[in-house]
Amino acid sequence: MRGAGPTAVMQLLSSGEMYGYEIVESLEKRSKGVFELGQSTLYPMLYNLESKGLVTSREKKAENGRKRRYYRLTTSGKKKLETDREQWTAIMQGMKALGLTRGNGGSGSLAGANT
Amino acid sequence: MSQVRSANISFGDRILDRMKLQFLADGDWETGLSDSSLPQEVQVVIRNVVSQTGLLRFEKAEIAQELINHFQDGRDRDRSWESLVADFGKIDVAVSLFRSSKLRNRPMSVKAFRGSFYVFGGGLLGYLLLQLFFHSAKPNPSVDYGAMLNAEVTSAPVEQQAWPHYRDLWIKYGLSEGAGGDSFDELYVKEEGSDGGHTITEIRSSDEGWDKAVAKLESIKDLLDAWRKYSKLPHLGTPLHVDKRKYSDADLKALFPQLKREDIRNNGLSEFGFADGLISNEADELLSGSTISILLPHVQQFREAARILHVDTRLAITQGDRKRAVDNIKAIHGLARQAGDAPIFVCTLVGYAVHGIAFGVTEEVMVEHPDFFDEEHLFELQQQAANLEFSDSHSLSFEQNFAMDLIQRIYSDDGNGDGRITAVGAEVQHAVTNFLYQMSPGGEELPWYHDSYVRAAIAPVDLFLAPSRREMVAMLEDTYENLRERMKHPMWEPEETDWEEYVNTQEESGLLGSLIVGLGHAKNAREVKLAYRDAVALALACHRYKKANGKWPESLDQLTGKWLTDTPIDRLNGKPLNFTIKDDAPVIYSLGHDGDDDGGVNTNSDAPWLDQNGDGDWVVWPQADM
Repeated sequence: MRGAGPTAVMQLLSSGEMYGYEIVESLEKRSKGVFELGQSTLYPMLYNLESKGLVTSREKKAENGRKRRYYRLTTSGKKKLETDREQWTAIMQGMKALGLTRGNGGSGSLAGANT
Repeated sequence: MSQVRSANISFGDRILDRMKLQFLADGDWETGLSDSSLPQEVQVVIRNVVSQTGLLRFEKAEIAQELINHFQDGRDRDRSWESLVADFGKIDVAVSLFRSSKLRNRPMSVKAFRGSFYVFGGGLLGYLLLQLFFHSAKPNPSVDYGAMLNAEVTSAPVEQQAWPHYRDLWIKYGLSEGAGGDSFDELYVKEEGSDGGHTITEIRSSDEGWDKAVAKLESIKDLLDAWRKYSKLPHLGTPLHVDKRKYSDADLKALFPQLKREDIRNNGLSEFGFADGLISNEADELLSGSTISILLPHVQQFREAARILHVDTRLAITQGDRKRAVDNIKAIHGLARQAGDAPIFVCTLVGYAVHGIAFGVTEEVMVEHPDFFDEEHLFELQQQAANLEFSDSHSLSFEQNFAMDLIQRIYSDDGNGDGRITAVGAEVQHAVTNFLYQMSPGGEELPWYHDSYVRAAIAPVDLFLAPSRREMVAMLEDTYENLRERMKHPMWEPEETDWEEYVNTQEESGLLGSLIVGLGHAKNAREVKLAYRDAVALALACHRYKKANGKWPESLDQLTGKWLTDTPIDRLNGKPLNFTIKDDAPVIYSLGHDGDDDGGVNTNSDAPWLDQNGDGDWVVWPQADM
């Protein structure tokens, strides 16, 4: 679904800053394979979020001595994520009312990530 | 492990990146990739993605570093290189996404720099192409207007030309301008003015130095006789050449006594071109070959001739020599006609001025010596004055050809009557404008943008602003037709547009506006002389009437017919000219702009006659401004 990927990435970054592969790995595990993106698409997505001011990045030396670029949410990003959450919740409730989902369905992973 | 130059890329390399001068930077992202510990198949993926993005070097370095870390982090999680490459996705999709996201994320400073670079570069390229186009066309003058003029002024049979008779005297007395010949100082009186300046007037028999003046007149008797005799010939016939090599030795000596034939350059220019140094040699030669180079060193000398004949008339009066006095006045009119024989506006004006001197001499004799002339002489002088037409039949034909000549030296020629302004032509136009500025009253200084470098830089703008050749010619023909119509248009009928307004509408043509602005005064100059002519004829008729009847006429009705062939008109209102008798002498006057008859009392104004707007009349006889 259009817009789901960036929201998912922002949801991951809401818990703290992460580097590229870490995001790929977390997304795959925590979405239970739903957001198994082509890994090459992640970085352009991050650059787009950065251009919108929702995400910022910095270069930091990791424990293994390698320099990595770490991404984290900005204040604007946090507000945008909050808005996205409300929209997704409304959508899921609507879907449920229509009988398209059972229980929490796909939205459970997103809501669970917030806990 | 090496780091790809990304965030810590040097400031200098970033600048070079932004200028797209990557080849000047020391090292690049590919070196960092090659030095990484990644296997070849992974490096190929990264290299393919990064190189195909077509981004700036520092952006490529950032992507490369990110991807190196990505694969190394994946390997640290015990993923195989093959699975990491497989999970990475399609190369072409990655290239597109990386490129679009990086472009979107590009710093504003880089966008501004690149934008201005392209705008400036594009502008510079466009400007250079415009200059190239501007310089690609050349004028190709095909009509020899100078030869046409010379053919016209020398076309009369030689027995009708006065110049062959004057030429040797011009040489003998150094009459051409700047010749440094006889100054005729004995014939003038210099009077100090109250403002520190001085005026020079023709000497009178009562002035100190009259004896020397008489001796001077005796010494130039051959000159005076020649003027009296050959001023009767209908044409002057002085040749006029652009290329001074075409003058005969005798003409060159008479007209340009200081110019040696060996100093005339091969192209016919004199030692210095028309605008040497001001414009390029090519433009200078183009301009110097035009009719603007035709000089008239002899024409102004007709004024001097008229003044000399004026003094000789005063001498004739003291000697009681009526015939010589009449012959002198007739000679001045003849010289006026010959001065204006060439169809050149300047010559026409000189002719008008010399006729004015003849009227003035007539007036002086009639006011100071009213009984000097007998009926026969008065009739003769009246007839001559009344028959003067101040013809404008050929007026402005040279000026129109002069402008056409400039156009063919400024514009290219497409063979169908059209063309565009050329670079060398723009220089010609500048030189002419400069010349006209210098010639204008006060000699205005040209604006700063007429500096040669500034002018050359902005000249291509003329391609967009200047009219085309066809438009220019059409504007020229309309303008000169308008001028001719104005010359014929009576002053008492209102004109549709004011001349100044009309000139302003032609200002967009630049050069044409400059050329025509002075020509509008031709009409006024002619009207003033026509008024004087009619007043002279009327005054002489009054004197003849009095001689016959022993009293002055009381109205025009008494004069028309026997004493006056045509009823003279007030040039301002088209009605019969007014006259009155004051102090036993006729006073002839126009009612002036206010149209009120103030009994022949002048307006209290020092302004030129036609510019006076105050209460009062315009007294045309006597003018007393000789």
